[in-house]
Amino acid sequence: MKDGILLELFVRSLGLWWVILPGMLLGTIVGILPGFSAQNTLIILLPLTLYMDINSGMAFMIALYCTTQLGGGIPAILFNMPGEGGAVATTLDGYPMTKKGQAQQALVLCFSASAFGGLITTALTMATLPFLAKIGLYFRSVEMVVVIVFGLTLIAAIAAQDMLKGIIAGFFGLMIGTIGVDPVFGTPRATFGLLELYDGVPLIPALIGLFAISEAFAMLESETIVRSEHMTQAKSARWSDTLEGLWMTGRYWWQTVWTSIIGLIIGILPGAGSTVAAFLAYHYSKLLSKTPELYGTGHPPGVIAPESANNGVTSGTLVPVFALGIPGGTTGAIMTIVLTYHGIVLGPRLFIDNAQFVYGVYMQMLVCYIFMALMILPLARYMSRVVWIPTRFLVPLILSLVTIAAFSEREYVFDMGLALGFGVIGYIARKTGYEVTAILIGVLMGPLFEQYFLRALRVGQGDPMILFSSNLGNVLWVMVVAALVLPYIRSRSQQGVLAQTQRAGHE
Amino acid sequence: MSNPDSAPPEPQVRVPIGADFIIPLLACGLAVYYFISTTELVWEARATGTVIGLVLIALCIALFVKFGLRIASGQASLGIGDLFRNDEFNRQRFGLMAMMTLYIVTIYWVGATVGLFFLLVGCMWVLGVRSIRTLVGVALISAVLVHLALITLLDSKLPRGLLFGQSGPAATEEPAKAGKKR
Repeated sequence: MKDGILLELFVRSLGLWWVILPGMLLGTIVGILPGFSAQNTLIILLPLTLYMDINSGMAFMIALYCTTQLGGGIPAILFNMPGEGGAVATTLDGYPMTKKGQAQQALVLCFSASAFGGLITTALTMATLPFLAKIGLYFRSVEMVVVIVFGLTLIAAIAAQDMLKGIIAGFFGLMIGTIGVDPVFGTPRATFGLLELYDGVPLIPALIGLFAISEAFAMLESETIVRSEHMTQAKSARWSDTLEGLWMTGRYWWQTVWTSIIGLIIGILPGAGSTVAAFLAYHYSKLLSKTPELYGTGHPPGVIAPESANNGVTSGTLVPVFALGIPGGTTGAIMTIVLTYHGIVLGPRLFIDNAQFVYGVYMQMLVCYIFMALMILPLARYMSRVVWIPTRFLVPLILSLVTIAAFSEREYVFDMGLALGFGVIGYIARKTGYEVTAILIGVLMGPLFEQYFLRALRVGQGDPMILFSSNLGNVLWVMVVAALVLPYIRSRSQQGVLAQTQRAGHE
Repeated sequence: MSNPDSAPPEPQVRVPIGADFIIPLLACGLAVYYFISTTELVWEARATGTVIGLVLIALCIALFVKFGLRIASGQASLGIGDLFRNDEFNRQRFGLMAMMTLYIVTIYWVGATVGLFFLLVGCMWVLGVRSIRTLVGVALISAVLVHLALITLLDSKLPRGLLFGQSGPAATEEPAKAGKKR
């Protein structure tokens, strides 16, 4: 595509600011509130987007979708309460930063990693769109099983402090994930006779309970979220802290680049989504880091990795929609509805017949990310002040709003009770040293694993060796084994070096 | 002056680990219930859950053995620790849980918005806020904002309650309840 045309598309996309900005505002609010996903909001607003012309409608939907991923990280950092599944991994280092009085820096890291991660992957997608369109074809059920298993190995990484308890927590989550009808025959399993559990344990009440409610129960023991010894530092936050956050992002720029590419690839794969991408990115980031022991204590790359990855997903989501006409998830499906309603014929011919439209949509995404970088960054300073509110006000507000939010996904009052139940389980788990993140990884990835695993077994006519039948799958298996063994080898070698140093000291 | 070397050794503190059994016991209970409730299903339908359940039970047994050894050696006890201790924070937690349960149980009659107002007032009261102006002000503003955003703007199916002409669970459009009637 010629530079002149790209420039024209860019200018045309800038002209859509009047739909991009409201979309961003709505996306940020939707992202902050757990239970209000981009998908649900896009469905509610479908009449509006169908009414708009195709360019404005797509710009609005893209702005809302991209900003939702960013918005989910805000409560994850400030209250340990992820607004979206893709922000769960952000809690691991974002919330510890808040407790240390670095909420502003953590928010800046989240915003800049999201914006730059999104910018990088959008530009990359535009440059390599025809090639990327083929990636989805190489990932079949066997390869997807390995991708999900790789995500599950994060349980072991999180459980490093008490491996047995951590793995039990992960398997408990996986067990909860098996509740509901099976993906092949549709027969109910372990539903306690409740129709509400036939679709499985809903993710939003589980997420709200395990994170938000249990954290609120734990939070009330202190006057504010920020530890008293760090309160002075938190209250003295200045614009220089925003710059410090930006400097941290710049320092880990390579981290932003490669973790956002993980997000892009996962986004192309059907059914995986931002949650898997964020966990994989966090896992890889910790695995390849020179200081893995700092992860979980408020380490900046622990915020950058999941945030760049979940925004990287946004560029990937549209690739199968345009290239194959097959949406990889609900968001892609809604966009497909709008596109086909306006007479856009999706599939390989789209790149020949209407390439300018495809690149135009990605240009709108690029503009949205530029707006995001410019407009949302300054907000970090003011947003971070929420954590000064005394917990005697914050806890009731969190509990009441998340109870309402638990209703929003399926509109069952049952889900409010379920969230409370998960809240109690989450609180007991926290107090007794079982990682709630490991439980949630199990709940999130268990059904995905089962779905692809059973599909692979059916393809292989019941032979489990099908899982080792593809070259790409086998390469991924080697990476899974490496992910499990590498930390152990590294820890052993560090212990060896330490022992040698001590011996040398004695001598 | 007494010789420090001849002082009697301090008794070893036994760490209470009784509460650590709760999560694994819940997990084992779920796994056993899964096995029982799926015995008549075809193998493909129960394979994944069975494998996960068996591994989970094996892991829990390993943990119980580990705990047992610690208790036998005098390092730990079966005490619950501070999880259910009768202190101010736990009383507040139980108060909050009671408020939330009451809200969820009565939401069809009281309605989401009015219930939210009382939930907020109740929760803040439990946590020690006593200023009537603050209690009513914070709760009222929050409830009105939620009503405007979710019910008025987004047309959420949150129960409206008697005040807005809804008579109870039967009058709502909850899909699961409707499914049960079918």
